[in-house]
Amino acid sequence: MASNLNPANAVTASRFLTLPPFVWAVDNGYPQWATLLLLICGVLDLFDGMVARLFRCQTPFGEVFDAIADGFCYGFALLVLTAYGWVPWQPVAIIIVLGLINTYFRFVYARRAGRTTNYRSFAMERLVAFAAYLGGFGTSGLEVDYFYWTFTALLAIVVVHDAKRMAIDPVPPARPAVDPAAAVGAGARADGATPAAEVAS
Amino acid sequence: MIVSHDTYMLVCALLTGLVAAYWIVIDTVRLRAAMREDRADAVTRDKLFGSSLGIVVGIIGVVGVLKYYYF
Repeated sequence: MASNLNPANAVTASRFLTLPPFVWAVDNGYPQWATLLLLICGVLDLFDGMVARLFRCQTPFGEVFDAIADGFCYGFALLVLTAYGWVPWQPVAIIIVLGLINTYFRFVYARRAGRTTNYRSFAMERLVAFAAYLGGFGTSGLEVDYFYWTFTALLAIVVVHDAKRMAIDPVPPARPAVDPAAAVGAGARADGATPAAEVAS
Repeated sequence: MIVSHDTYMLVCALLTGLVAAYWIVIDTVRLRAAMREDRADAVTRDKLFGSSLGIVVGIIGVVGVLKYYYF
């Protein structure tokens, strides 16, 4: 098992360094710099998966840390843009509530499974990628209302779909833990996660 | 200001539109692959739903860019 102190997690952690200058850019009314910093944050998100495969340091913690960094960075950017009035607050409030509901059902799913497990939602993966763009729409002013409200509608649909899958549908049996080194040559995901739907603790 | 406002908006629109168009193609391929799998499997149904949603997201992206420039 690779250590959690590894190059991939260092790249993931470095994404947090883009947040203070992002706040500075928004506070001073520099949308282009704010967009550039969001872009750097997004590129680092792609880069950490490549580093994980290159150095063969994929870990279950890295998968969770990457998801936390996604949520924190994009969530923080949305809150800052909302606070400064660059994006409408109504869809952002709904997005936050839906995110909390989704997180609750993930805990329900783990409790039903009786082990530490992560429900893999193919639809939510698409929406997370869409969410990465929301900050950029906010800083550039590119059809902000249109993109924020369509995202909110799609998120509501996916949260209802996933809630049913996590709370009602049968939980599949645990799969054997995947050796991160072996996963490298077996279709590891771009974000460094193992291809298995679940990572047993 | 790094570049002019027009250039900046053009770059943002291109980044959005091109990625969205690419996304439509990729998820169409994934959808076709998933349709060949066993639909009784819950994971396959999730893949079908995810790929369909991905195509919708791609269309939303392309329409958003066209909306900005033409509507």
